[in-house]
Amino acid sequence: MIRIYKCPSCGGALQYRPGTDEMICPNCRNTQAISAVDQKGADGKPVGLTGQERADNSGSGAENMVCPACGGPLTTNDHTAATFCPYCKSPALIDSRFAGQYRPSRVLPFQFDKKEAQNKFKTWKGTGLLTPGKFKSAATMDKVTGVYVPYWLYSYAGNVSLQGEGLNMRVTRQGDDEIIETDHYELDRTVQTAYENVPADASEAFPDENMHVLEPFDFTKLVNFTMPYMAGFTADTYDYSAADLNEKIRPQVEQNMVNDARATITDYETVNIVSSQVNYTDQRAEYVYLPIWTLIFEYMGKKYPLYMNGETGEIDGVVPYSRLKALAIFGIAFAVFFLIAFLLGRVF
Amino acid sequence: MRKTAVLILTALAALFLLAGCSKASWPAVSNYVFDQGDFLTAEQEQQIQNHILELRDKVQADFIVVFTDSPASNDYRAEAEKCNNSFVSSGGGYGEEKETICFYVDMANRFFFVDEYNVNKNWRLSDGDIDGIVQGTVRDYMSQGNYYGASMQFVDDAYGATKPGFFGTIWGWLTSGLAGGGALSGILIGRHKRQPATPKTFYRKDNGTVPLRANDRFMGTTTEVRHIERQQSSDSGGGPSTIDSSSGSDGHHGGGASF
Repeated sequence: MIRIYKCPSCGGALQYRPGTDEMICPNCRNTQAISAVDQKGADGKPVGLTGQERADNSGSGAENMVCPACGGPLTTNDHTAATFCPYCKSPALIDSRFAGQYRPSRVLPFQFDKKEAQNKFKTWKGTGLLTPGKFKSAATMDKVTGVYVPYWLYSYAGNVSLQGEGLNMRVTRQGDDEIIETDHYELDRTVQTAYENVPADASEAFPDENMHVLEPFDFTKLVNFTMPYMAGFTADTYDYSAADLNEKIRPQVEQNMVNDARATITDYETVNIVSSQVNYTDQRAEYVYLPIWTLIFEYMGKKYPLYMNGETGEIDGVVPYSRLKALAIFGIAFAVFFLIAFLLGRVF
Repeated sequence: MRKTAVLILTALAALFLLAGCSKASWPAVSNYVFDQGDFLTAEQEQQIQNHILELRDKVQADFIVVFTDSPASNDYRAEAEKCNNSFVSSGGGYGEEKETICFYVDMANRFFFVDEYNVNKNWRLSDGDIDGIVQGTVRDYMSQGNYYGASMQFVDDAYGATKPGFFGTIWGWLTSGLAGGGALSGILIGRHKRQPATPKTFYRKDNGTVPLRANDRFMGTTTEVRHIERQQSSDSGGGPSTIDSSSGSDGHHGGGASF
């Protein structure tokens, strides 16, 4: 089923209003509390990491993807969960893509609106003198889009066992001789460690290197998932299952757990760890949606994607430089340095 | 943008024009070699003269070579300054500052002196440069009786010491412009450094790291003895000495040596 939240006042399509717990009608500015619009609440549960669950890329059934507002066909693929009708621009949510294995547990709602996102892109420190003038144009800024990106949040708890050797040295002098005495200890330690909400981007469309830079998110602002938060934004279902990404995330976290355990050994001047083992007492993954503003800037036939954390405003990406502006700056700087060198030559 | 490009090109053309005009020639006088004892042949005098004419514009200084076997006094410095003054008062000296570098040779006392004259004491030669000239190859040539070689060497050495530095040449200006322009453009192009990714340690649970068990066992003590080698210190010293240190007075400075 395709879902559109209609304004009780004018019949327009309601959208989530960033930074609030309400929806707003872009036509009549009428607002509705999310709790009043959708009573369903969350039914997503953290999933276990047995390794049996894999991403199902076959789609969740071919549905009649037609806009309930205007009847126009929606442009979707197997992973589209939230989109807009290309004809009437109504935000359309596909129910089945938020159900079953794709039902998220929680969502971190956008904390600021498109206008603020546009201002943040415009004033971003990553832009400067050489940024093409076109970047800050209204046409470019109109392309800013809010996307809820599917993430897995991993939590691990376990006991780290460490075996190794600890050394303490004493140095004394007798005449021209240096006496070095070394005490040797056999180490056998167990340390409990835990990591919580380690995020992993589960979408293939968003490059990991960019997403890592946008972290951290403030997960205290996560709320139980309800579909109205998705209205007015785009979203896809995950491409990688919890088990898929666990194979990538767990080794990284495990190394940190061992390092944390190693850091608790402070009794020795030198510590050599010979073996380590992590016995997990808990491993969980939670399926959530996190807010990202995107801007695809097209320049000289190339696309430059920029990403902004929809909660903190942190931005990552690379803006191209204008060759003409670079040439002009070079020319001016050349002239200035040429003149300085010439004057120096006259003085000295 | 096109207007900016035209402006920049015009400014660059102006700079090159300025650079081209900066080393205008100063009129030469008829004679730069004064041999009062026939120590040089006419041909040698001409060659020295030509060499001076070849280099004077490059360093913006006149060179004069004076040989005498009947000096008015044994005060080499005063005699060299007198020669220089005389040359300047008869129309010599380069530019408004009348820059002149004189190679004065007193054959009667077997002493030569290098004297620089400049109205504003804007010296082309440092004291070190003059010491270098009088104690170098010039002196060797003089000792060997090769006066022509000594004169040519004096002109070469003085030119070598006074030739314009890096910032005095078009290449220096161009290199500075290119380096400065390139560096500034490069900095602006590469201004945006990607922020570092958040490390996974950020997600460590508060108070989540708790030591549960510590069963360390003492295994024993090992002892190592290292002998400390003592170093013996030694001193050395010494250095060259100069013959006639340079000094300046009334627009002159210079230095000399016997041969």
